[in-house]
Amino acid sequence: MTIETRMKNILDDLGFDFSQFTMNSFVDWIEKTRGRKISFIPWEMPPGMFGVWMSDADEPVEHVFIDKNVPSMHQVHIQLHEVSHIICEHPTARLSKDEMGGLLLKALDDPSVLNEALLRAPAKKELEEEAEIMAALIQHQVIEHQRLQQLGVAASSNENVIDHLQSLGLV
Amino acid sequence: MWDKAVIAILAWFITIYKYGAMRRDAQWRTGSVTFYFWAFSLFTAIGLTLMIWPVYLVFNRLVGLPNFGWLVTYAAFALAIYCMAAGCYIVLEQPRPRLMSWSLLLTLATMFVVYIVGIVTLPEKADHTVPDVLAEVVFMETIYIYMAILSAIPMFTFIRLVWYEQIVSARLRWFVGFFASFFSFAVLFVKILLTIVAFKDPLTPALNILNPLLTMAIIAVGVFMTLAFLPNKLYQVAALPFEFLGKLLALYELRSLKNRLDPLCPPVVTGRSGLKNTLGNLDYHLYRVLIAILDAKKTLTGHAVITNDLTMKPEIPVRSVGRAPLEWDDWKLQQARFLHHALQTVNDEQSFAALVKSYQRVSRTVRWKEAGSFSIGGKAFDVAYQN
Repeated sequence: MTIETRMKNILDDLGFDFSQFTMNSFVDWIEKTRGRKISFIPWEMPPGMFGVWMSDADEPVEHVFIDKNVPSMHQVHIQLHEVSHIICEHPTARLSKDEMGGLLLKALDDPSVLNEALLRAPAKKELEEEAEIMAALIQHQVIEHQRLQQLGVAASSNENVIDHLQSLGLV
Repeated sequence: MWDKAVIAILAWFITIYKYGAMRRDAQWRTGSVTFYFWAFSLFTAIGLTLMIWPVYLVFNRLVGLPNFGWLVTYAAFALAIYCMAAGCYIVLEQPRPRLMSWSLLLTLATMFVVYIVGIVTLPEKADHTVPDVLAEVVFMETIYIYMAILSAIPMFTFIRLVWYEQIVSARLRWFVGFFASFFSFAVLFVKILLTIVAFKDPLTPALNILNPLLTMAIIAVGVFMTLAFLPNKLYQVAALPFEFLGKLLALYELRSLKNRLDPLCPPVVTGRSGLKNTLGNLDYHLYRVLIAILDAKKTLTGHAVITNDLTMKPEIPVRSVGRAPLEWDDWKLQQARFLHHALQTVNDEQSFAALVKSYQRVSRTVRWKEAGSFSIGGKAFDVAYQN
């Protein structure tokens, strides 16, 4: 079975209705099915790092750190990639509140210490591939259900004009 | 008469159809775009209705003033073009010049005075194309000149919208709007000429050219005006062939850029999709290739920070989870610097369509520069085709 087929099966088993996709509704669904809250935190990332996922060892919470300096469309993609790890039930670093607090305090001065967290996680290339393929499959579903605007596409490239078109009942 | 009746019915249809949308707009009482565009269609419908000869006669009888329908028609058109121009200023996010209101008042006042002095006493006639007396010339030219000047505002608004628009369906609508305003301007321009020419010599052969021109322009205004108010879904359908070709070109250009970036910043997932799959999922593939470019841009930017703007290789290899480590020789370092600077010209906080356009531009620039002058040791090089 190829990675893509396995990921497709996992996504199908999730049972999410992509015709109603919004990032919030999708994350709510994952939280419900996995029984853990997902918290997104914009963060200064070191070079080469896009997002970091850490599990809370004390509470049922997944902490997803997203590079705050990338554009919003890219952030949505990074969120989906990290959520894909959660969907695939990949292993990750499990940190207690104290450990995480200490790490983040250090990361404020030197973002590269976040690498320490990753070094504690089994970051295999295969897991990254799975997450990226899963994110791509989710994006495929979103676009197939004409919800591309949820990933950053609109009726006009001018936001004010969209408002006018909407108020005229043309969109 | 029937052509005028059909256009008037179309105008009333738009006015009634858009009434609900206008009332739903919370801002309409304070003068929103919705309100001004709806008021434009209302005044146009009133003016066009009074141009139908039996309606015109009945209206004059009811009011008890000869040719009063003529004055109301022109006043309605003056208000219509004023509303359209006022709406355009909101779209352009510019304050409305005070001169616009004053010129409307001046036009209405001039027409009213000329009506009292010279029009009310004239016999009623079905065709107002050719003036018989000087008062009619002044009456007609006043409204034509006023409307011609104001119709330039929507024309320039639509040019600007077309220029900045990235989404094909919206661009089509702005094109239609531009043609509607252009033909409105053409109608008025021909009217200005025709009125003077016909007054000087009602039998001049020039009328044989001007009259059909006028009819064609009026029909064009009716058609384009109706098209401009069609729902977005119809524009999306009409835009499909253009969008398909545009997306195909965009995908080709973005993939060309991605192929140049891949050897420098290896992606997590590699692989090619078949032609059928690509053509059937253009939006998806465009989205993915754009994300891949943003990934590479972020990687290059990160490297630029620790390598003095990519002027040297990093001392310690940068760890990037799930990606092959970056192993750059001098050749790749130079290519990385070149692409990094090209990518930095794009502001990424734009809409998806604008981002696609921007990176298409980068891809073209990179290709041109490489084809033109970028070489090492006399040999032109192109990382895109290395693997």
